[in-house]
Amino acid sequence: MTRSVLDKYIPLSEPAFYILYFLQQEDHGYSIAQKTRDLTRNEVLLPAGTMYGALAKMEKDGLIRTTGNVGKRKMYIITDAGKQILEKEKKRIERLYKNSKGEPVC
Amino acid sequence: MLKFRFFTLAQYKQEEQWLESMAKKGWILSSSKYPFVYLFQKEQPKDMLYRFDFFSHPTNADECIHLYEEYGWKNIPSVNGFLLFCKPVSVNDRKELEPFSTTQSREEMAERIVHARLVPLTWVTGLMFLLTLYTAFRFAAGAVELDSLVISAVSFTVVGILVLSCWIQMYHLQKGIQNTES
Repeated sequence: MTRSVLDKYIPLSEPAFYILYFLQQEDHGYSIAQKTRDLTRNEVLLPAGTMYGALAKMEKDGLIRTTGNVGKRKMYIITDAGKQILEKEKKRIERLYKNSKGEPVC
Repeated sequence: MLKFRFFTLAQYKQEEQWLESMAKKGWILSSSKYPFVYLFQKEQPKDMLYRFDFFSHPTNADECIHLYEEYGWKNIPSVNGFLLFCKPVSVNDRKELEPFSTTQSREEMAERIVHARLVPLTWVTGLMFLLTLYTAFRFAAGAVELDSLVISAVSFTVVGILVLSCWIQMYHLQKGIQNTES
């Protein structure tokens, strides 16, 4: 993965984070939005424009890829590059969380 | 009813507002398949939300339309890579319905317009300038009539002013996006 892609995505935006997180299993845009809404109890909404813009951009940058269509729905799954970014980001958020409570990183 | 109205590439927010005010008067847009041409149908006055998205690539456009439809938006045939969607609304759920929830995604939409439309148009303007310069030299050398030079210069000026005002509007649009809370 190129440096510039890493720089572009880390820290991950909330839409990008939830999309990558849910695409660890094959899924489509609208379903990701509903799962995100449920998991965050309506805190994070991923409406159509934000969702499609993020999907198209992440597909172009190779963080996710399409696995085909189910009906008119386009299905996506995370790529290795996407997994790398997600893991990196999870570690970063964990560090922030610990540090915010005054705990050192172990 | 057929209506003509001029909006630049950077005035899609104004265009949305205008369409919404038309719907309030009972004029519901059925299509805008040609630039600046709007076909309306008379219905009951309604509160409608009109929103543009932009994807210049047809594959992206189709996928984008399908996704919006899943969210309950209706696509209205539109031109120039602009995708137009509408949804009837009640006043209180207006914010909940917005198709863009983050400043970043709003900025990225404006960026797509800049890269796919405004930048190429600027190159065209540059070429028109060179053509005018070339015609001026040819005129000085007595190889062409004054008419050619005038036509070339006038079209460069008109297009140049339009493109420049597009850039200025786009600058203000992007500033506005940054200053809006998401």
